[in-house]
Amino acid sequence: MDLVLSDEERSYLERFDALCAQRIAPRARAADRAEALPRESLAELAEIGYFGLFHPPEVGGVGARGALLAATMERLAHACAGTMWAATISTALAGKVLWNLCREAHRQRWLAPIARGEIIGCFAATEHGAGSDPGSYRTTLRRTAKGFSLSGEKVRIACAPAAAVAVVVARSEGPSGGLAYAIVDLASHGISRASIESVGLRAMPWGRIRFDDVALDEGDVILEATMERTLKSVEWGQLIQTFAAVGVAQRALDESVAHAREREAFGRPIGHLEIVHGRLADMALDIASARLLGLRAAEIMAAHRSAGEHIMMAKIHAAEMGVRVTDAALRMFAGIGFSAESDIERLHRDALGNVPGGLPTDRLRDLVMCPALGVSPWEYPPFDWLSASGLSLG
Amino acid sequence: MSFDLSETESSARAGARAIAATHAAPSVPIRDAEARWDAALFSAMGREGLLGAPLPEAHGGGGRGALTTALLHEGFGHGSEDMGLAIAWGAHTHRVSVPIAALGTEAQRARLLPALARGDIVGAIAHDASGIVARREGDAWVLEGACEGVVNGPIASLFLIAARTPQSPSGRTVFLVDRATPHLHVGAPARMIGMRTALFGALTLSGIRLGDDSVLGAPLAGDAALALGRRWQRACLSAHWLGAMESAFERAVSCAKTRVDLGRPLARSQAARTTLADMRVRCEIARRLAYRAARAIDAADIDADKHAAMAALHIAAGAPLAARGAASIHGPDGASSDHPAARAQRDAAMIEVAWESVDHLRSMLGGALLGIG
Repeated sequence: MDLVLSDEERSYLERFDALCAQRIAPRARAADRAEALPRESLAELAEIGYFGLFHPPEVGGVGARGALLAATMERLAHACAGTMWAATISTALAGKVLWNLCREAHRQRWLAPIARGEIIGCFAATEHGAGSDPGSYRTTLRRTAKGFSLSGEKVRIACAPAAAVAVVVARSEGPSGGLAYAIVDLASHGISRASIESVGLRAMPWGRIRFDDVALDEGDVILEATMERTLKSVEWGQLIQTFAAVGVAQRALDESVAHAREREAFGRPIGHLEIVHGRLADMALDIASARLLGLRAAEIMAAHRSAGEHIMMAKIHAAEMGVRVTDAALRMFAGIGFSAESDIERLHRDALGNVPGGLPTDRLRDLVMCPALGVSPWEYPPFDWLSASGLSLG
Repeated sequence: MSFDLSETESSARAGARAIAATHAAPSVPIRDAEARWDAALFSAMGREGLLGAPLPEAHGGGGRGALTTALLHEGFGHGSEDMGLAIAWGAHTHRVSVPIAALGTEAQRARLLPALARGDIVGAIAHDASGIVARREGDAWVLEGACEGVVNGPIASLFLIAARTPQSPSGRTVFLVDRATPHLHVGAPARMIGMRTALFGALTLSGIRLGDDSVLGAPLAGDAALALGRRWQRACLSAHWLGAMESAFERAVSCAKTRVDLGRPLARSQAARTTLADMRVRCEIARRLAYRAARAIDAADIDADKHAAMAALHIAAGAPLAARGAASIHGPDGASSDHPAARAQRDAAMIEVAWESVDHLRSMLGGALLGIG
């Protein structure tokens, strides 16, 4: 009912499901333990055309519809959320940013190989001192005789340690001092990278990139980067977090349903206990709600329109849902879930990454409501309104 | 599934909103304050094609599907925020009229549907969990038992009653019972905390005698009638609540722009924006779930019951939170008895009594996931 797919799409999805279940899911636990991206999984995803689903034929993709994108993202996350993030951040965040911003030369040099799954791309915005507030970014582009020079550091960037190219959000020097995008070959001179260990999504490479006077050509810099344009560019990142959460949560539910049927206490399966089957119902409702919001956003975005508040609402609900549902699964499994012998605790750790990833849900709530309220989401007054109103603790 | 509505569908919703704004909205505060049922208003809803929307055109209905009917509910909810009227309409149309249309004999349909569609007679259902028992005595059915809090009870002419038979533990028989039947008694309207524009009363059967022509469908096969009514009511009243919550959200946004708290408009409070954002998301989820349920009914999808139950659970669990959120935005004004925000809280408090229990829905859905219950 939720997915209306053509015969061809359904057939593709069946093959994709089989790949996820037979090849990708069995690698998930070891990848999490070793904090290592399974390269074979990426190769298999490339072979089945996953990376190209998100892009038009002009760059070698197939331009899949929103329903199929949603289904494949969810199933891949169900198998291994870290692998899903790694593959999809590359093709659907970095790739989409490249498609939206860049000129033909970049499309062929970078986007086409990303869309074939041959190389990994990343989108480098977050810094040590600034995340949701791009106005505070310190990574800077300086004009030089030959073009530009890029200096600064980006941290907690998905895929950075394994990427061949980065789209970097930087401040452009000079009187207008706005934001700009730089397309950076990560093999360039002056670049150093390091991994950062994360609590979840450990199969996904994650780390910092430092730029020391990295030389860029004129053509590698796009100067017109407004806040609004940047927000729109990262919509695909939020869709990734949405379906990563849906996939992980559905996995948690599937495991919980099986457990409720098999595990016995007081003479019968625990599914007979009201709290147990009641909790399964809440989990199913929470997941269905997230999936439907995500499908709506995916449909809009696959048709090349901006999903605006639809994708923000989907991300807000889905990301937090993922944490709730995987927590509920931990309760379902009790002590078993707390043990590293089961997959349940990994699902919860993976789910945690979707809440702060990209734009955190706290920030998204302000971005959703401020326009309707006629207030700016970029201005926050100092906290000085209590004493002025006569309110005090004592 | 395309998420967009067709032109016809959007128009249906807009039309119902206009009808609600004209006929229902102006009198909601007084009807709520006086706990008054307005028969003329209900008849107007019948004339406007709302009550009979899903019933066959041949019997005075609109021949509409579940999605269009749900959209009528949504529009009406948006235009009136009258949840008592919502529950009255839901019981009358979805729990009583729709099962008659689907499972009734031609005689039952011809006799009852036109009057139900017009709102000339009001239908009520003695809800499923009641302890009413039916015994066979010769060629008559004898019903005994009672049911509390029957929606529309005090003003209904027609009762749809689900009874158990002693010799058969499972499988209920559904009867269509006229109010004038001897030994049928309806209690005075109960004083309720909310949904006060609808009337609730106890139904007592002290050995009423019915013929076979009172049976809806086949004896012991009444569950189909009950399930059909439930899924229609769940999908449509979820949409009705969606409309009401959207209206409440819009009012709260307007309020936040101007109401001054701690020296600045509430719009500048991040806490208030968080509350509003959650209301917004809750509405959007309600939309997706209600439309999915309605479309599933229209497509005779095997999961229609499940989708309808999910839509209802989201509302039953979420509407009280939405009402609480709106109240926090409106502040003192919203606590005044006549304010829609105050009424919304009281109406939400009635959901589990008048419509759906959260825990029952959880057990139903959980059982469906596990294949037990």
